Amino acid sequence: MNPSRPEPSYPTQVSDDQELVARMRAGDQLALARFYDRWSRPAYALVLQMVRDADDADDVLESAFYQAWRQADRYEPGRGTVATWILTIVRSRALDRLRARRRLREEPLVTGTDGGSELGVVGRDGAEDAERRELVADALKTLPPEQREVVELAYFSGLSQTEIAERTGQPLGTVKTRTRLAGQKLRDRLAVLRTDEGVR
Amino acid sequence: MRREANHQEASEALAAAALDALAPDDQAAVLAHVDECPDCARELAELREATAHLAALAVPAGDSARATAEIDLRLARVRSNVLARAAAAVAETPRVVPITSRAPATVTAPAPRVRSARSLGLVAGMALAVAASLVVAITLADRAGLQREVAQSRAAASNAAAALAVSERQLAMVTGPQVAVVSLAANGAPKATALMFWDRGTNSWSMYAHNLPPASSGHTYELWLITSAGRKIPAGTFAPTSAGTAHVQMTYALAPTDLQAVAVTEEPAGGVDAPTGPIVIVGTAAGK
Repeated sequence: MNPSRPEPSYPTQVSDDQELVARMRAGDQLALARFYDRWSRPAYALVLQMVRDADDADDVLESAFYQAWRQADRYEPGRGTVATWILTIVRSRALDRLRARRRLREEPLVTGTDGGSELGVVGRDGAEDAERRELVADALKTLPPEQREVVELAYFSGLSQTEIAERTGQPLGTVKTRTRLAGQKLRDRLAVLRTDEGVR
Repeated sequence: MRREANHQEASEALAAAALDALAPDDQAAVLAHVDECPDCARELAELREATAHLAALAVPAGDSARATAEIDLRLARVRSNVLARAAAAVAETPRVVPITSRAPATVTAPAPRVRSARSLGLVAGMALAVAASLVVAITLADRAGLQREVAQSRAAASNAAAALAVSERQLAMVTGPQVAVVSLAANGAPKATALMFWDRGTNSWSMYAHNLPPASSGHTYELWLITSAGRKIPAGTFAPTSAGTAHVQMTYALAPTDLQAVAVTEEPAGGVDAPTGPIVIVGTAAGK
């Protein structure tokens, strides 16, 4: 199948994330369409990595972008980039889905960043994205294995510190310490990516 | 943890809060402290940005044209749903009352009292100051109102342009000079029908289906293009709406005489590379 899809024939091009969000706040649906086109692919990659089911990922993605539309007025540039904002919303909705599944005891635990859903690949990124991914992967790899495990279980599998302690057999206090140290190291090592443009 | 964490507790839990790895009560307690503490707010923002970068790792290695096409179809369908919900929300949202119909500000005159010349001068001065403040406040309010009006007008014009562009594109996809139409009929689902519009000039395909029941649990519908040589090309999975309708769009280059038929089958969730399930609707290309 030819992977290309029809290009949207919209009358304007707006590239600035913050302006898109400002226009969404004013009720501009075209801005929402452009915002979705900019962020749906990395967002979908994250959701799919977390929920591991394509139909669930569709639901989560729809819910997250609709929430972004309804809550565009809550975005505050001073509290973080648009990238962090939308990826946080997306991840929160994916966590909701994961935790709802666990409540029903139907969720097999999948850890780490290997493997994937039946769809396999979402990314269609360029050199800049590949470079960023390499930098993030390197930052994660430099963590001690036990700290990396905590981060992966929390971020991709949506486990709480208590659940991580149960899963790994470590005391809760140890898990808390590892989480804190890992977070601080990631923040310091990824500071180089802290730009106006944000995460991509 | 208490309803609001103290600085020490919150500071130590910020990384976990950024990862949403705290119990809900603890998360609320930390965030309550963060709302009051600029240092913790700044650190949490930095930690959240760092953890958001981890999303970049959510791209498994490898590639597959079929997987890419499948994801494109899914992203396009979600896009349509999000925009439709946004449009519905806009339609339901009451408009802001125009500033021209806003009730005028009124100032009630105080009851007359006997005052000294000095106090009268003071009162007059205060009245002037109040009046000036009112003028400034009303002017600022009008300006903000006007800005809202302009933003809403721009949004409305933009929405209309977007809707028109979508309509024109859909119209061109079903009425273009090189468009061939394949009618699909039920083969198991008695009322289900669909029309596939194939624009041979742009290689775009657009199928509109009706009366499709939900796929059975753990299954999905998958669309197939069947060539004259018998090749069955997977064209993506889809799920009908609660009303039983579905719209599938894609781009695929096929020689004008190569299409034999179009079919929809029911397959395991996620789809398959070759059809395995029952045919739900099928249609033969004209002249075949």
